[in-house]
Amino acid sequence: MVGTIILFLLPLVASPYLSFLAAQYYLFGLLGISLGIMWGYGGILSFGQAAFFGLGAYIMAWSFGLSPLPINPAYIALMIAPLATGLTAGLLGLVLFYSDVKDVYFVIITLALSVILEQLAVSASDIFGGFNGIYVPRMALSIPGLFSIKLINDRLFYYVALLAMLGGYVVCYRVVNSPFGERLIAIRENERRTKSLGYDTAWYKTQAFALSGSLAGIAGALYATLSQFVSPPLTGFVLSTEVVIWVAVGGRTLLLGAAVGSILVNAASTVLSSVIASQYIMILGILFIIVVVAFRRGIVGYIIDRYDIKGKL
Amino acid sequence: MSTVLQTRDLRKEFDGVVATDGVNYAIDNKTLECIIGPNGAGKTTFFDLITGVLTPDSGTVEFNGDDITGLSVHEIARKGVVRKYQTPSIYNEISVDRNIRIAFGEDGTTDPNRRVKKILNRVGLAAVDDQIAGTLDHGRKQWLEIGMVLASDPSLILLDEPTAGMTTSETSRTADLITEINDKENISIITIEHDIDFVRQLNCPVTVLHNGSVLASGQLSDIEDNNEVQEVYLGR
Amino acid sequence: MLDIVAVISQIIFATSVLIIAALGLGITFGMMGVINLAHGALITVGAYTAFAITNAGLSLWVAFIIAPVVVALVGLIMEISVISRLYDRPLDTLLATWGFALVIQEVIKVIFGTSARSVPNPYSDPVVVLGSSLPKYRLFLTGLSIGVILVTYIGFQYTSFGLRSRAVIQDDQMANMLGTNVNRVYRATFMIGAALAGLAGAAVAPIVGVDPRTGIGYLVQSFFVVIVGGTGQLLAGTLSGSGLIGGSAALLSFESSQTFAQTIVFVFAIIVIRLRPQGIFRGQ
Repeated sequence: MVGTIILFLLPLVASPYLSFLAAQYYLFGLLGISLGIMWGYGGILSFGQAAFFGLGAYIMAWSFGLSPLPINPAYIALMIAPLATGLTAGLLGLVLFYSDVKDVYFVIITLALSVILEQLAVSASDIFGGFNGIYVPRMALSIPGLFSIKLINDRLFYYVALLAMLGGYVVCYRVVNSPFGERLIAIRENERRTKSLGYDTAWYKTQAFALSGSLAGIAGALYATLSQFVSPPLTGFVLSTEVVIWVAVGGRTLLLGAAVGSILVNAASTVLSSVIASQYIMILGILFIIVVVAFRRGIVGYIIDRYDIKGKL
Repeated sequence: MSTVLQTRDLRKEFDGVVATDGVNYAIDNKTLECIIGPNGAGKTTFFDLITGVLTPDSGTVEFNGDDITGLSVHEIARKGVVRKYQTPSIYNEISVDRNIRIAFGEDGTTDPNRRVKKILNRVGLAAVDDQIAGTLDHGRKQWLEIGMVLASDPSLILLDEPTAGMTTSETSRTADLITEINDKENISIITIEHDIDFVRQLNCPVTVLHNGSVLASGQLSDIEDNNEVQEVYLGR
Repeated sequence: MLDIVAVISQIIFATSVLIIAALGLGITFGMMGVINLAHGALITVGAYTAFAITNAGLSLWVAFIIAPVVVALVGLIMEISVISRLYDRPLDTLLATWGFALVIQEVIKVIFGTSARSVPNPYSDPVVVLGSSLPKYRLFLTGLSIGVILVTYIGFQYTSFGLRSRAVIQDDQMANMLGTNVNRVYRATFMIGAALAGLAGAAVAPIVGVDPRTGIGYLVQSFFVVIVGGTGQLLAGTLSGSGLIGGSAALLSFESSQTFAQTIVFVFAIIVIRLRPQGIFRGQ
């Protein structure tokens, strides 16, 4: 609670540049949450979250490309992106989960999804802009007929990003603590038993994946208009695998861990990269290995266990 | 008396090895029966075929007159065929109480609190309702699983070696438990067992499987006198 | 007008490359159940070893011997430090190997920089076969892939190590009771998988160039080869998987761009997996 208040007050003291960075981190946090709900609660590792993130980003870019439109193009994108990414994820889930594909294969296939999408974005350059990417203007917050504020001010966008992340967090929190969430965890713990009790586990997994995809799509759409540039790496496997690292380091079985891990790792990367140039990826890789071997609940998870902080996060 | 489960000419082959060889089996409503047989006889495979874990190469499975051959595991479970696995298949990370509640299934149940109490009393776990399932000893884990099976409101229960790893007294209690469930709840039960004393305690019809087909069936005393069965199996 | 010889030779070449690239993964994933996401990075190390050796003036053939050794050592480091602790945690193995992939890639960047390097092609002049002009090096690669398959087959079928390895993989408890040092066998098998990746890297270096991302493409493709081919039979699975994946990509690339062909092949592979989750040659 206190933390949230601090976050809300931050832009009042921070520079526009810091607000910009923080906004990026929050959107990455939302991306992390999208993986967290699949991986931490469903027990299914997706190595392709960037595919949905990037798709959402491109949808935002295309939306602006179709201007002039009677409705705020960003609003259109923010409605279409989660639908498109959620549907894609859902369809893929239907195909894969109903055929009892082993967890490992799911990882490979989602990884391939990212690779394919990135390749597509590079080659189909008339649609995706290829390597040169697409420039995206800052979105405007508007109520038709009343006002329209273009979010050029980084501090304003900070709040949008923060709200988006908190919104995603709240949605996932409610899902996780609902009967649906409980069953998802049951599937993660013992899928065989859950099936034998009459639950259509493949459908639950598909729904979780669809939710995960649409959250990533929203994050991507907002990211596009924040950073004002969309290019193939946003869909690629490098980002996809980075998300896995953020969430693993933060703590995959906790939503808070996923969010905090994403924010912290990115913040640390920015800080470290200005200090130790290229080696920070190496450090990140080593840290990742250590976390995987020794800190299975991630850093946040470790702290919670160590200091016995209760409550379902 | 109606037939609750019937298999006709059920066949399953794996890479040339015939695991189930034309099994014809039927069990009437509200009956308790046992299936025995040496290791590799195909008992668990038989259960897998009935519950949808495996799809038969040929033959059919009928449940209460409906053809359920080839349906998925969860669909068959929803129809009322619920299974207890050979190794305890429960949710180790949560409490006994919550394990039962999840078992109420998609449709839930009226008055869950009362039902949880009733089931836990029936399986003898009322005192440990908030204990984490993973910390229970082996025997209690088996009873918890039986409790979960009960909670899912089955018409037919398949028990795969429910007394594996139990002490003699636990085995005795389990026999009483199963008989009680069959008598009081009027649920049909098929149980696979290795332990002949347990089968004796249940005092029910027995089917002997060997090499994937039915070798003999009848009352235990008849089976014990059967020469073929003696050759193949008894004397353990 | 399609030149039949060109088409067939393209299919064979693509298959051969994949066989070499994927066999190492087939051993670690198919036989040991270890999901080695560093496989691509190991291929890259092999490629850079080839560069370092040819750059120092030695011939490519020396690289073909040194690269597998170097990469086998990298594999040894991985196995001793981390992988051996994670055999019962397959998903964690996946993650840890990914961590290694990142570290290896960064180390390469530190040592060699990020710009692409090249390795000279000893067989750059084409050869005329059946009226069609074919790149000689690719013919060599085809021969190499056949050689690799043969050596692997003989190695696993007829040597005592091969026998022990198969025994351990089938049933490690039994093998342990019969006196085999299971840990050593796992270690050696992992190293062999790595060595093969190193060989693959050196082998493709002359034709695809050497940069930190050389191996990544092969990573995904190799996994698809193993998944589609199935884990039941190492060689049959790798052969059929490579043939299907490589062959169809080669076929399609006559009609459309390389990228688009890859995409179609992946979609096709996903369909195959959907229909037959265990792959063509089913494992246990």
